[in-house]
Parts: sequence; structure tokens; C-alpha cells
Amino acid sequence: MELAVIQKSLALFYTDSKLRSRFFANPLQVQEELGLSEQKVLELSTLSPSQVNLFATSLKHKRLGEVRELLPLTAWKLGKKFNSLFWQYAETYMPEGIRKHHNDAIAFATFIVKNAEIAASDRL
Amino acid sequence: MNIWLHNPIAEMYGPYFLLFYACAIAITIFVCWSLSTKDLTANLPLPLVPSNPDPYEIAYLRNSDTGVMQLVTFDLLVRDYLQVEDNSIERSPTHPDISLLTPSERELFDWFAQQRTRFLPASFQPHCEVYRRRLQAQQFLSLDEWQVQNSYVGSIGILIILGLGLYKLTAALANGHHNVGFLITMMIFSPFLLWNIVCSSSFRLSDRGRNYLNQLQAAFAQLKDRETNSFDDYNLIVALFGVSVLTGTPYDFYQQIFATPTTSSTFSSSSGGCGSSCGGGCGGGCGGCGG
Amino acid sequence: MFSHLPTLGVGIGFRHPFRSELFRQQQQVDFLEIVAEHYLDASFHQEQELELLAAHFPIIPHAIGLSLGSAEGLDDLYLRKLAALIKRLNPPWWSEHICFTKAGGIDIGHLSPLPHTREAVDVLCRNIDRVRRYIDVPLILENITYMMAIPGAEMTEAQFIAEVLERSDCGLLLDVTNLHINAVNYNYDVRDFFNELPLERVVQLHFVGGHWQDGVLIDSHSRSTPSEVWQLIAEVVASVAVKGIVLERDENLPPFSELVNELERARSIGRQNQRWN
Repeated sequence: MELAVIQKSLALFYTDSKLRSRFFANPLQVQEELGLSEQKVLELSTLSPSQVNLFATSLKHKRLGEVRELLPLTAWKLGKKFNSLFWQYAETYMPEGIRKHHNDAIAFATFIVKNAEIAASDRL
Repeated sequence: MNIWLHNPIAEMYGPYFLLFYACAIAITIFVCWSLSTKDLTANLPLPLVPSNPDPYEIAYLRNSDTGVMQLVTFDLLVRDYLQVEDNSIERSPTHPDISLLTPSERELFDWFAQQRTRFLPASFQPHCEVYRRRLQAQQFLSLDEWQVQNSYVGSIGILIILGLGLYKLTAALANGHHNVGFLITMMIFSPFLLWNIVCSSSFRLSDRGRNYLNQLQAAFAQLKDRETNSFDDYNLIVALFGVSVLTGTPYDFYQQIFATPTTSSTFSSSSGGCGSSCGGGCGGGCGGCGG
Repeated sequence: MFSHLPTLGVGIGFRHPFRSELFRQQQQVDFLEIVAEHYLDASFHQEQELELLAAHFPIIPHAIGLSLGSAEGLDDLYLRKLAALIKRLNPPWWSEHICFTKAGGIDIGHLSPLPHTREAVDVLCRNIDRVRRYIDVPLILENITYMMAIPGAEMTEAQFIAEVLERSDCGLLLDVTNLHINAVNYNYDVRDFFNELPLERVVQLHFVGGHWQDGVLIDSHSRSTPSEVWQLIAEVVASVAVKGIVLERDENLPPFSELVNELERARSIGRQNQRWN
């Protein structure tokens, strides 16, 4: 059963940048949060932070590529801002399921609209 | 005379008659549909998509003689046998050797040298006969007998519907009733409905033909979106989708020429204007990348 | 062991952008591999596309999201949909990866490496048993690339793969490019890796090229196949009666003629070893 906990911890490292930072800064501090034994936490702390970061970034790049394909006009209209908005958004939502890329695109579109509304109300 | 104006149908209360009329229309349509010849070709397996389909055969499948004529003209334009001058197509004074032309190409080439009538020459049609026969053999085209029989059945059905409606309309007006709007509406629309249901197998293409055309269009849909295509590819694209897909390609100019009313009327078929484009609708769909 | 499976020859991973070219040059492609996930919740157009492809080519479904290595078990809905797709296509075999993609309610969205432990072998075998209750078509498992090795390994990667294959009685989809990339990034000898693998279980190969980024070779499926990978393909095909070999190009798609050239090269390797005509 320990594998399930390890896999959940790894999944969190790959997708939650804040938790990842906290873990590599002080692994034992997040031991309880992850539900891992001390031995396993110390074992996982031997993971290379740069390699995990690289993998986590590649996951986001993959999501970005899929979403850009599904929202070509939005990408064209927003230009470079599309990417920067996506990096902000990607931290807030993890899509799942068979139609995860579609769900991701819909959630990102909603994020853009909300962002624009907030920016507009700030201007007022 | 009285019996014509004073009988249960002539004096039937308006809404009840409309109900009765609707039932009569439904029964007529059902009987006519039962008597019509059904297109059963949709159940036949489709042939595989060839690597190098004959564009002329496809052009005929999509748009009859007109499709073939458009394609031959496009071909002659690209090969510099024809040219565009003042928004019309004419023979190029510096055309290549005409002995290289096929009979159908020669026919059209010669036609462009003459004072042209509105319609293309009937003499071009025999060149399309080979495609018609091939497509007919594969059951891609509706049979003439289907069309004749279904038109006959459909006409009788329409006569019954209009006859009953006209009789009631006359009787109502003679009896001083003028609230006949619903009746007239039903008389107008029900014949269209009947014709569509009963004569659906009278379209130029059989179900199998339409399915095959859709399959070809789906298989080669992306050729439309490519930035560079070979000349053969352009021929295939025009055959499959018509000249309108040349928009934005190096042959955009030709597309505009074909699209002008004078030119497009030139490409009407002299056979009484069949040439209706059937099929349509490309496949599209998704695929994409995997992990 | 897998000799009863038909020899398919040289195929390509189907990608939508080259569909027209694929039909134009269909005689150059013996079979197609489709990403199963794309057709699990298919739209009408996708259904039609699949029908069209299946009418013209043998199709091998390649799953990427079943998460065979998930200790928490398999997604029932995904499994049922995958089983329905495979039943419909009736392929000689289908494939998945030796990895996990889901854990703790998180869909990682990519193939993630497993720790090379006995527990992970048990999990894989248990999940494969469950899959077999739904899908009776032979399953072949693919080796993946990884950007980091998970600590706590009790065996080497090759031993891990061998153990999974033996215990679950699955075939191997040997991704030669993945093997090359891991060997480069983790500095090991591919021949040593081969020696520990049950090569008689190899049914199919994958090949393509990756790219370098920050000193790491990335399995991006975005470049033409490098010479080292061709060399490995030649070695494997010479020693194993592979049934099929698939070019798996996803990104930076070149003109289709370039892909056909790569297929032709793979075909000639198979011919030289009398694997196919």
C-alpha cells in the first residue's frame, strides 16, 4: 500500500509547484501532509529537484500545446500573453478524465474571461 | 350543383376539416412512399479509397458534366492552353502543342475559339459518358427508372392532396367562408414534403454514391489546407470540392474567374441544367498526437 | 511465444494532419497505430474517421491513459470504453505503457515512471489481470523514457520490465528511441539492457527522434530518427522476429515523403532479415 502514497506524493510534486518547493526545502516538514514514512520521505528527497522541475514544466508545456490547438483564435488574439496567462492558470487547475484537454481549454477560457473582468473592474 | 356544395366534406367545420385534411395528407404520403422505389444501395460496402483517384470521374460524381467541364478548363488554364482576358476565358495565343490534348480537352479548347453560346456544347457530353457508365456500374448514380417511377407516384400524390384542398377551398369560398389561411398553407407545404419523402431516391446520386463521395472528401480534405500542393493534387481538390476551394491558393485568380456570374453561367450544362451538386460535407474529424 | 501473431510490417502512428497524404501513399504503410484515447469519447466525425481508417489499414490501438501502474487501481469507465474500442477494431494486439498517469485523484497527463520495486510489479500484474477480464486481445507493454529515476529501486529497469512481462505473460513493445534516450541520459550500455530483457517477447518496435534541451535528450517525437536508433533497430530486428515496427512522429511534422523515407528504411531492415517482404 505504500506505493499508492508514493505515487500520490509524486503526482503532487509534478503538479503543485508550491508543495514541490516546500518539499525540496525541507522534506520532513511535509511528511505528515503526504502521509509518508520518514524513511520514504528521505528516500524521495534524493530526487533531483532540477529533474522534477523539468518534468513538471514539460507537463505544463504539453497542456499548453493541447490548449493552444483547441483555442487557436484565442492564442492568435492574445499573442505572447496567451502563454503567460496559461502559466498563471495552470497552477490553479488540473484537468482529468478522457476529455481532459477539452476541459482544460474550457477552464482556461473561463480563467481568461474572469481575469479580463477583474482587470476591467480594477480600471473602474 | 347542390351536392357539390352541400355534403359532409364541403360543409365540415373548418378545424375538423383541417384535421381530416392533415390525415389525408399523411395517408397519401405514406401510400406514395410505400409505392416508390427505395434506394437500397446504402447497404452495399463502399470501395476503398484509391491512392490516385481519377479526378475526372470524381468531378462527374460530384457535379455531372459541369464538374468535368470545370476541371478540364482548369487543367487547360494551368497548362497555358487557355488564358484569362478581361474576366473571360479564351485560347492562349502561345498555347503548347494541341496534339497533346485528349479528345475532351480538344473539344473544350476548340469551343473557346468560337463565339460561345450560354451553354456548353452538347458534343462535350459524350466525353463524360465513360464516367457516367463507370459510376452507374458501381451503383453510384440513381437509375433513370427510379426517377421516372417516383416522379409518377409523387405527382399522383400531389394531385390528390391539391385536388382535395382546392375542392374544399372552392366550397368554402362559395359558402361565404374566407378564413382559409391554414388550408392554403397546408396546400402549399404538403406537396414539398411529399416530394422530398417520395422522390428522395430521385437525386442524381444514389446513397452509395453520396457515401463514396463523402468518403473521398473526408480522405483528402487536408489537401485543401496545405500550403503547397502538386498540380495533380490541385486537380483532385477541384474535382472533389469544386473551384471555390482554390481561394487563397496560387490559383485563386481562376477561382475568381469561375465565380463571376458570366463565367459560371457559361458552365451550365446544356442538358437542361442537371449539374446539381450532390454530396457535400467533408469528413473533418480529429486525430492528433499521442504520447 | 508470440509467433501466432500476424506479421504486420511497417506502420506509422496516425496523426490527423497527414491523413490525406496517408491515403495518397497508402501502399507505403502496412498498418496504423492510433492513440486509443482520441477515440474513446469520439465525435461523429472521429467515428467516421476511424471507420475510414479501419477500412483501409489494420489498426493497432495504443493506449496512453489507462495507468496500469496505479496502485489505487484502474479507472473503470476508461477501461470499459477502451475495451469497447478494442472490441470494435478487433486488432491482433494492443499496447499500453509501463508507467502510471493517475494517482490520488490527480491526472498527471503524462507517462510517469514507476519505482522499480516488487510492489510495483505486483500492482502492474494485478491491474493487467483486471484488464484481461475486459479485453481478451493480447496486450503488449511499452518501455518509457523518464526524466528522473524514482528512488528505492530493488532491481534494474530491465529486470523490472522482464519481471512484469514474465509474470503477466505480456508481449513487449520495445520503444527503441526510449531505450536510446534513457541510455544516453543515464549513461548505461544498451547491450547490457538487452541482455536482461526477454527479447523473445518483443512483438513491436517504436522509433522516432527526440531533441536536446539543457543537456538532456528529450523524447519529443519531433525529429527524424538518429543513426544510433537505426543501429539499435537493425540489431533487434536481426535477433527477434518482430511483427511490426511503427514510426511515432508527433511534433514538427515534416512533409509526408520524409516519413515515408523513414518507413522505407525500416522496411528494408526487416527485408534484410526476412521479417517481411
